[in-house]
Amino acid sequence: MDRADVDEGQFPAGLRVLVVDDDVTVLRVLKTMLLQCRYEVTTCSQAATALALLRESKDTYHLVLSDVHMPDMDGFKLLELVGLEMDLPVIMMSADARTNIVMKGIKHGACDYLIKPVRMEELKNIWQHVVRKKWSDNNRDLENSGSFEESDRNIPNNNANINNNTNNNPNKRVAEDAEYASSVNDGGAPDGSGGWKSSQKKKRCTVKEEEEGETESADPSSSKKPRVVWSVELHQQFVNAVNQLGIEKAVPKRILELMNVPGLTRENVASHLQKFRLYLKRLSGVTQHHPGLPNPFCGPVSTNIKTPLGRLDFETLVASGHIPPQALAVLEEELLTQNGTKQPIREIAFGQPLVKCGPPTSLTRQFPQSNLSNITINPSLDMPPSFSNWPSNNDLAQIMHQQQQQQQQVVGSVGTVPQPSASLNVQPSCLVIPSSQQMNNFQVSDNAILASQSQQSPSQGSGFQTGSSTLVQSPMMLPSQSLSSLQGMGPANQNFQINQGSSIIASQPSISGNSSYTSAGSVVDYNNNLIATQPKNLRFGVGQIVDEGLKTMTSASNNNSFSMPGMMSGMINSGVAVTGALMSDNNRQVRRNNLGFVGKGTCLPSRFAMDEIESPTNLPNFSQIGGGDLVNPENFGLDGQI
Amino acid sequence: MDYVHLRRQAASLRKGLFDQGYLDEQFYQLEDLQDDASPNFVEEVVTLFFRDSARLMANIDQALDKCVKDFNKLDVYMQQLKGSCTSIGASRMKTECTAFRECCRDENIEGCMRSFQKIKREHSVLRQKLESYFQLLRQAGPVECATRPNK
Repeated sequence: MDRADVDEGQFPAGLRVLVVDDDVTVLRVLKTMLLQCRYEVTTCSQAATALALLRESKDTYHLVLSDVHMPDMDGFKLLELVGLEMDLPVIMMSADARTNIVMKGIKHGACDYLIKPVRMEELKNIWQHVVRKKWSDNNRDLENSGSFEESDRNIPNNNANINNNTNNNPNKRVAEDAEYASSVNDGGAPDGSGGWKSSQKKKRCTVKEEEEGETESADPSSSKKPRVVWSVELHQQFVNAVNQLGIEKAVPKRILELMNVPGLTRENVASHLQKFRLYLKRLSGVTQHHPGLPNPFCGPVSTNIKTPLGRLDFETLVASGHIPPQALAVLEEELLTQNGTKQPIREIAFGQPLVKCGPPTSLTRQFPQSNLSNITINPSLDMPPSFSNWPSNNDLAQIMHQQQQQQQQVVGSVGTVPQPSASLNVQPSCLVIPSSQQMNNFQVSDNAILASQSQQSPSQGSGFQTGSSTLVQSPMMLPSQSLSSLQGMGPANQNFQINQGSSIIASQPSISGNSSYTSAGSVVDYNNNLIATQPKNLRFGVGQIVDEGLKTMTSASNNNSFSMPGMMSGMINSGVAVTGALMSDNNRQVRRNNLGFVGKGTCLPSRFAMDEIESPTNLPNFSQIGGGDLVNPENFGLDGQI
Repeated sequence: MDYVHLRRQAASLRKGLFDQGYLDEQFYQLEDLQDDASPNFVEEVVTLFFRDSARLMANIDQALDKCVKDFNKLDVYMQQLKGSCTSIGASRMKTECTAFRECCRDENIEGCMRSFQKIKREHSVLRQKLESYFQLLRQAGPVECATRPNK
C-alpha cells in the first residue's frame, strides 16, 4: 500500500477498499459502512471484475474484502490469487461460521474472516491488517535483503552472516535476539506492538526490485544498492526454471533467461543459485534417492539454507501447496536406509505432523510476499504479522502443536526413540513458538520446515542431522514440557550442543532436551564429527543449520532469529543444528556460540514437544531454561544437558 | 396531517417488528448508518433486499418445481438468500432459511418444500410490514428518520 496517498494525519481514513460480494444488498450495506469509516470504497459483485480491477493497477487498493461463496469464482481462489499476484491483505466474509470453513480461509491466506452480518466495529479495525502486513513485509525485506548479499549492512541480524561465525559475538546476538524475542513475547498482543518496536528499529527498508511490486517507504539505510528480494513468486519462478533446465545444467544465464524477470541480473541469479545448490546438497541424500520427490522439496529445500532462503522456500512450499505427506514418508524411508538408524525417521515423523498442518496456512507474514502468511485469521488469532519472526513461530508452533495433538502423530521418534537419533527427531519441537502462540499463517511453513528437516538429515548421513534439525526446531517450539519429554527420550545427557556453534536459539530449550536424546552415541559421534568439520555456524534466523556437514543451526541471523515462518524452516534446520548440540560434551563448547536465539519463552515447546516426543522426562536443562527465558546460552542446555 | 400520530404509528409498527422477531439487531445497524448524507438509506437497502431476494426465491421455486432434487444447488441458493437476510436483519426469514438448509442436508425434499413455503410467507409478511412502515415514515414527514428505539 502506498501510504503516501493516504493522508497520514487522517489515517486510516482514505484507505482504499475493494469489496467483492455477489449479494447487492450486502454490497450496499458494506459500502455505506465503509464510507462511514471514511474509507474509499469500490464494490463489485463479481470476482472476475475484482481481479481485473486489481490487475489494472496494483497500487490502487489497500485491502480487499471478499465474500466466500460467490457464483463465478470461489472466494478462496480469489483470495489466493490476490495474495499471489498483488500481495494485498484480503479479508473474507461469510454468513458461514463453521470452523472448518474459517480455517480454510486462514489457510488460504486470509488476513481475517468476518462473519456476516458484518458490524461497523469490525470494519473500523480492518486498517490494522494493512499496516500489519506492510510492516511485516518491511521486516521481511530487511532480512531478505541481507541474506543474499554479502552483508554490507550494519543490521546485526544479517542473514548474510552465514559465513561469519557467530562465535565472534554470540553474546551480542543472543542479546539481540533475546531482546527481540522478549519484545516479541511481550508484545504478544494482537497488534504485535511488541514485535513492531524491535522490528521498527531494524526496519531499514529494502529496496525491492520492481518485480516485487511494492516499494517500501522506508529508505534503506545501510544497503547501498538495490537488492533483489526473493519473494515467493520469484523464487518459485527460479525453482521452475532450474527444474526445467535440470539442476546439473542450470546455469545462471539460462535460468535468467527462463525466468524472464525484468531487472533481475545474472549475478542475482548466480548468487541465489549458489545458495540453492548448497541447500540441495544438504538434501542431496534424500533428494537423489527419490527423484520423484515433489518439487516442493526442491523448493523448500532452501529452508535449510539460510533463513531468508529458507523462508522463501518455505513460502514457496507453502504456496505450492505443501509437501505432501507421502513425500515425507519417502524422505523418511530414505533417511532410514541411508542412515541405517531410525533417526531419520524421527524427523520425518515430526515433519509429518507438521505437514498435516496444512501448508496453506497463512504464514504469510514471515514469508516474503507470501500472501498466505498474512493472515490474522480471526481477531482472536491476532498474530501480529509484522512480527515476522516470532509471531510466526508462535503461530506455527501453535498450529503445529495443535496439529500434532489432533493428529496424534507420535513422532515416536522423538519420544520413543531410544537411539540418539531418536532424540533428534525432536525436530518438531524445533518449531519454536513464542509463548504468545499465535497462529500465523504458518501453515505451510510447518510443513516446509519439516520437510526440509527431513531432508536435511540424509545428507549428513545420520539421523543426527536430521535429528538435529528437529532438535533445533523443537526446542524452539516446544514448550518446556516437551523438553522434558525430549529428555526422557534420549540417552540422556547429551549435551545439547548446538551444533557448531550454530546459533542455537536460545529458545531451544528443547534442544537441550533433545540433547538428552542424542545421547546416543551415534549422534554424538556424528556431532563430533560435524563439529569438527563445521567451521562455521551459520547464524540464520532460527536455528538454521547451515553448515555443510551439519546444517548448523544458525538461527537466522536476522534479527529475530526465531521469527518467521521462515524461521520455522530455520528452526527445522536448527533442529539439525541442535543435534549437533546433542553431541557430547566436547562438542558442547563448539556449539555454544551459536546460540543466536535466545528467546524469551521461545523455547517452550513443551506442549508441542510433548505430543511428539512423548517422553515424560524432563529435561534438566530445560528446566533451567524453562521459563523460556533462554537468554543465556548456557542455560540453553548447552550445559549439557539435560 | 397529524404527523405525531403518524410517527407514533410508525414507531409502534417498528417496535412490533422487533418484538415479534421479524427484525433483529442488524436492522439497528442499518438505521445507524442512515444520516443526512443518505437519508433514505434503510429504505433503499430494504428495497434492494426484497428485489434481490424475490429473484433468488424465484430461482429456488423453479429448482423445486423441476423436482430434480439437486440439493447442492438448492443449498447454494439458500445460502445466498440467508446471507441477504442477515444483512438487513430479517430474522425470521433467516431462521427459516437455516431450516431449509438442514432439510437439504438430510435430502428431505418435502421438508425443503414445506420450509420454502414458510420462507415465502415470511418474506411476504415482512415486505408488507416494512412497506407500511416506510410509507408511514414518509407521510410523517422528513422530520425524523427512523431512530434507534430504546431497546
